[in-house]
Amino acid sequence: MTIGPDSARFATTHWSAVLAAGRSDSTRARQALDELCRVYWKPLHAFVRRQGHGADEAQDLTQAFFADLLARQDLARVDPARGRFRSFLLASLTHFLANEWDKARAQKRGGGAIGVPIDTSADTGDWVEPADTLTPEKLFERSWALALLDHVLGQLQRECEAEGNAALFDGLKGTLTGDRPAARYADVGARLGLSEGAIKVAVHRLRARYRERLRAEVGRTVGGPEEIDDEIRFLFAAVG
Amino acid sequence: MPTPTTCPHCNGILSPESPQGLCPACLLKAALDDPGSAPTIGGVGVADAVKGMRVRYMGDYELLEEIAHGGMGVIYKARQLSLNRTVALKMIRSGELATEADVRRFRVEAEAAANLQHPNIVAIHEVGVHEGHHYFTMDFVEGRNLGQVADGKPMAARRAAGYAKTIAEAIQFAHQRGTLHRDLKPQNVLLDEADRVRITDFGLAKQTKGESHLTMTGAVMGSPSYMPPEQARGRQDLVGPASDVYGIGAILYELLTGRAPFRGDTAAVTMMKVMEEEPAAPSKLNPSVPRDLETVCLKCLEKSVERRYPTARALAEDLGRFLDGEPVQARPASALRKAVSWSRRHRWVIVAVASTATLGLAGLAFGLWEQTRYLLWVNAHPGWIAYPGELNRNLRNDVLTSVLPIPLFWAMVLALQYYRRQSRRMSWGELRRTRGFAPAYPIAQGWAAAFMTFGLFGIAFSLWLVTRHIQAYVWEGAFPFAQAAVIWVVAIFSAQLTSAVVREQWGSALGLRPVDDAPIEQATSEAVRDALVAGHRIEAIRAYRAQTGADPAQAHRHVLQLADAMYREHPERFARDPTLPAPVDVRRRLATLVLAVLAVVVTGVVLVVPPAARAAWGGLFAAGTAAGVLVALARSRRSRWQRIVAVLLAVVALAAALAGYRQYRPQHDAASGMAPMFFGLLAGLLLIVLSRRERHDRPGG
Repeated sequence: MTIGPDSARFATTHWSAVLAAGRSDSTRARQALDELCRVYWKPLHAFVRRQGHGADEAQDLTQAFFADLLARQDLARVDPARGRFRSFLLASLTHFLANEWDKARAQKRGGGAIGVPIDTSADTGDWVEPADTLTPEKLFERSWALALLDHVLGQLQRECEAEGNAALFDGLKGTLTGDRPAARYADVGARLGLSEGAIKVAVHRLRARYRERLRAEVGRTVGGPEEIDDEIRFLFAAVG
Repeated sequence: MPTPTTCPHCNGILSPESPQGLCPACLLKAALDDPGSAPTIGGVGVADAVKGMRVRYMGDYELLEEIAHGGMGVIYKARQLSLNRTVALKMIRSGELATEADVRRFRVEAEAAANLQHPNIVAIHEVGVHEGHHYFTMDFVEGRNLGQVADGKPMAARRAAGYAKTIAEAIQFAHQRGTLHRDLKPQNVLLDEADRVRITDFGLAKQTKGESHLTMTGAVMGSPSYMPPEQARGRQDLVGPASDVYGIGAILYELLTGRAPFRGDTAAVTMMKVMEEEPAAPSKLNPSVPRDLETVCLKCLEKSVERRYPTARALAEDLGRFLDGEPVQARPASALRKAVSWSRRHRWVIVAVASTATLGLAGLAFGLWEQTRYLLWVNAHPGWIAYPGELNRNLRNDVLTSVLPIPLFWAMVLALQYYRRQSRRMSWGELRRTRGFAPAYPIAQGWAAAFMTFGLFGIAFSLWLVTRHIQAYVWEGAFPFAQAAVIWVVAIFSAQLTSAVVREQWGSALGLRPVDDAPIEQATSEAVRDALVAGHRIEAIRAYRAQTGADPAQAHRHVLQLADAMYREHPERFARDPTLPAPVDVRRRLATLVLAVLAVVVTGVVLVVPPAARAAWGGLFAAGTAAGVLVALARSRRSRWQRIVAVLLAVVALAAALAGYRQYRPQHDAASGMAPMFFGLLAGLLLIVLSRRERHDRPGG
């Protein structure tokens, strides 16, 4: 569920630009930051829980952190070139948790700021191994990677549905992970009523779009295009 | 708790929170950039560097980068940490490690090569399993393979011969230890930094001295372009040391000419060529190839096993003789052998000759018998004069003998084309383009029976008609020659149809011909590039579309982009800039134009000359030729009105000739006038076809 404008339009808004514009309190910039936070709330939540807080408490704390982040006027001072959004968020959260440790649950919301509705229905609450053996930081990174992928794939799926190709996405999403065995084309083609050639074209396009989306999304969270590969490799290691 | 599933690509466990049920690691890997690889057509490349992935085993290996993948394994450059050396690590792709047979095959490869300690063979270090991944390690060779070294350009003859000799000696070593390579190709021969030959990838090796049941099913593996014919046919009993000799010959061929001996758009077409075609002589593609070396190379590439060098050693020795400047033992093919191999390619000639001979012999036999009867009759009836009478009249007037043969001929031709279309599973356009040169698939029994029956009927009918003509000749001294000629043509085509059906459908029913229509990506990409280099842009676009299924406009754009990139990289390989529109073939255009003008003139002439001239056989023939030329032209014109005009003119020519004939010789019916026109038509069609014939096997470059 998304409130606010379609996330695709902000796909190219770099997080540094978002922060820089945050100073002038433009609604669009706020919404972009809001969007970014919405995608990545889960890793933050996981981190907070791994710190030892109970489920409800973690939820409250995460919500408070977001509110605090969005209300901050000093975001412009953050230097994006020195880090990535991921590290920035983690550092901020750590700092926040340390400061808020003893305070009461934050009821205050920034005046007029948009609250971030947190979708808790997807929280299984049960982090099965191998997450159990991870430190909170490792868990955060892993969860970050998964949230990123979820977001990109969800985007892709919604796009396909909007085009009327929902079945196509379902049938072909398996090809996004790498080499495709030739036999599946015929099956999928038979199910969808497309020729093998058309399937190949569709797969090629889907993979190209997926790559584009993923790299754009990663690009949103790093300091520049040259860091994209590095970040992907980092996330690969975090997941593996 | 649901049992965790695993990713088919990396075997990693998929936790419930995996995005869309897909493996996150593989998803991320797929999005990495790929700076090192060449541009791929269709753009479906896989991620490259997987840095830092550790595989722990007794001597632990750190995978550095993926070098290659193909067949069933992936090859990584890896560091053996315990010995601190760089090795090549070949691992089975996890998704395909399905059966025990695969594992065993993998092991066989490792063991086969492990037994071979030779300076020119890549050595195996150890074999192991890690978390279900089977792998083995071998020498890491820093260098390129012969395919890359050759790079589509011919190499100096002595250098090529030197490499081939070294390869032959190494293969001889392997043969002596009971191992065949069975997949020799330029990509499997590496050159290290010291320019030393290192043979690798004994992936399809078979221990000849031990029991190995893995390929008993006769499964055809390996790359078709360099595969020996007996392997392509699935004749495992014939595969032996001479098969590896063929492979070395194919490598030598590529070194000398810059291309493989046989290439086709798909694996199936390539295998057909391997089995049926003779390779173009290397000296035709590269005039600087010495004759002796060419003879050696072609001897290796003989279709029949007995004609090749029996052992790799024999090949090495002959190459040694060449390099020393001594005469080689191989002898070029004699004229008779060349004729035999030519006729294998042009089977229709054989069939035509055979059917003519059969017809002739049968006719002769019958004629002699009839002659005997005639002589007896003449003896009994003195004063008998032979003159064209009842028998001839019957032949000319009876519908069965005078009219039927021509439509029967066309029906035979159509049936033949229809059979080929069915058995090759192509459309009419594809059939025309490839001339039916593709593997024949089995067709429904009923259809095969129908075609064969029809062909046999045609033969029988022709034989019967021939006897009638001979009877007329014997008893009356004359017979309708033109009609007989038509019968002859009908017989030939009936024989073609029958022989084609019998040869192809029976053969495939018995499983003697491998049927594989999975295109090999590499071959198709090569096909696109080759076509571009040769200047055939349409062909390149077609090949590209065949691979990616792209629509024409997109394919046109992509191919142009590729052509542009290739031309920038290697301008010297192109005869001319491939991105420019193709030049018009002036000579062909001129020939066609001249013929068209002649045809129109003849048509005009036929309209104005008196009926007497029109009725003469020459006039009929000319009219027929003109009509044939016009019909053939009509087929090739793009503009609709041009086609209509051409067909109209053809009809006019035929009608005028026929009208004149009727007017001048009313006592003969139209049927016997048709024969010369019919041949004229054939002649006209042939003229145009020959003048416009495309050459398919243009040497690349």
